Amino acid sequence: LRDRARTAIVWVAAVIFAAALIHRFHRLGGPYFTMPETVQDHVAPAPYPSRDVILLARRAAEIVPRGATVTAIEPSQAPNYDVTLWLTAVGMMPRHRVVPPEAHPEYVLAVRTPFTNPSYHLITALPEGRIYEANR
Amino acid sequence: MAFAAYLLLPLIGLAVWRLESVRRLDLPARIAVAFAAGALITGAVMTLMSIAHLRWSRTALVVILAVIALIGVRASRPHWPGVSPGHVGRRAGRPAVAAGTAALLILTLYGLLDARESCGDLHFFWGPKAVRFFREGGISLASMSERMNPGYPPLLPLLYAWSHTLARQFSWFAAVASTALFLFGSVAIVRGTSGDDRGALLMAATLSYTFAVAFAAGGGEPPLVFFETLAIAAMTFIDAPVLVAMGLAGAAMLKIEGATFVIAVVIADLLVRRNLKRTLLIAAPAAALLAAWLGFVKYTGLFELYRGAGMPVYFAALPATLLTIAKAASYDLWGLPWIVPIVLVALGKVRRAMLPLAIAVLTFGAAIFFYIHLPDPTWWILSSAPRVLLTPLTALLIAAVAAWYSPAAHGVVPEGEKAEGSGREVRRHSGGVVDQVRRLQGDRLPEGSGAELQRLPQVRLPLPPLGPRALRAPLR
Repeated sequence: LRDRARTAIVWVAAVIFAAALIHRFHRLGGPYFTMPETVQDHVAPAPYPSRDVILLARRAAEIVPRGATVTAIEPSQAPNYDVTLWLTAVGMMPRHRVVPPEAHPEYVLAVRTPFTNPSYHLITALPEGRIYEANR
Repeated sequence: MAFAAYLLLPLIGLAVWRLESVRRLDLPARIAVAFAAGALITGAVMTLMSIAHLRWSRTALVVILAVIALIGVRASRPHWPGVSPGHVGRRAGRPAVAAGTAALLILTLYGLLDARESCGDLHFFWGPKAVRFFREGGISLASMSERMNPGYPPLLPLLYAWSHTLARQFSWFAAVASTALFLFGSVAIVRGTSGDDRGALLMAATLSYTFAVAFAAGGGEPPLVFFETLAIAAMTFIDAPVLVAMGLAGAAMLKIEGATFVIAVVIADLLVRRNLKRTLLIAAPAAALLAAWLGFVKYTGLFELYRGAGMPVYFAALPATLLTIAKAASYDLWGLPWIVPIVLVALGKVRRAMLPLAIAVLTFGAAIFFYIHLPDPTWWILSSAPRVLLTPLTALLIAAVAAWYSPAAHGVVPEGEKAEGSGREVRRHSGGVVDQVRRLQGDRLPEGSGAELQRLPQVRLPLPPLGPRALRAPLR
């Protein structure tokens, strides 16, 4: 009897965990059967800014000169920028020197909102975000 | 190609198949153990090359690791028969459990590949660190931002850098998908060492769900759980010190929490098994590796990360900490991932589960201890506890299997006696003592072949350690 009880408990638990997992995937939103663009695409119902940074940094890696100093920010968070955004760019732009925003880099990748610092000017606007260059 | 780098790891670690304790396992478990060994060997080779100032290159790494793999293949060749002396005969009757386990693992694979379980730490620091190691051609912590946790043990960035080196580009999806291998490996090890299909199903279901809720994919926890599973299962079910030492060494070199795990295992082992010499032996490799790493971290001036435990403790924060941990530990399912194994331990034989239970309690306690080093750790707990608590949860799941585990059923069962925890149906023919010995040694036999006496000379010796002892009792 105890053995059957154990079997029943394990099966009921497995079914509940499977159902909860499917419900969780559904709650995170679609599309459900297309290849995602980034590893962050469906970790939340509304995409995180870090997803935008992944996409923008990929494009910026082809535009910004190699070896230049770069950072990534969401301008609306000023002055307490989310450190995870420029850390994300570190892995995406290995041929550039990605630094924290306070290091006054040569290029700024801005996601979500425009960057209005007078020391920088816009060089390109992409669907993923904007790229700014320091005034010389 | 990036994912193939992870698939090659079992080949690199194939030499462990020579071990008697590994030969007794079924094929999936043997592959999982070789995967663990391969990961450790690859990490060790890359570290030694860094120490020797030899720059990593695809050619150098492939040549060195191919030579190691070839030696492993040659060394393990006599032990390659497709049927192992594990639990093959007993498993044939449980296709539903196998299908259930496979369904859960497929669900996890979908979640990983559709980017629904990815860990933020992957692109915050694990991935960037690996990319940096690759570009530097070795372990390089100089001028690395402290935000990238330069003092963390290096095994995971090394494995990612290995994939990067082989593919010549870093694949974020391959890193996320590698979580599936660590999850499959954990389930295979529990199934192979315990011979308990239902325990494996519970493990697959619980970890599939909790990995998703904790957003663990691509982070340090999946490989940590994998090495921890190897260590606990090897201690609990098959008493294989080499595999325990491998598991502890892997855990210690993956995350700081791995060192806490090693300490918890040492304390639990001393409390439950009370064999100081044995405990020291299994913990020695992990301790040596950790000491070497800490020495290196101190030499490079990054020791600050490890001073956290010396910070003041805020006991006033304990009630709020416990409440917040309870919230995080509920895994959005009323704590079911904990409740199920606790109920199974209570229904089974608690004494048999003492070792993994002690590890679960100690690692859970360690998490609380670290959290109360901040006056208000709420944000810290909510952002990390679902992943940190995967360690005590894994130990608890193994305890739930251990509470129903019978060493006798693992080997030979007297005729007419229920094969408790073995998976054999009650009242089914046991096959006779000699048949059971032959199954232990890998012969495929129908139930009750009736061929015992005629085939007796074919029984191959030596038997697995439990075999002769278990055999004497029914013959007496």
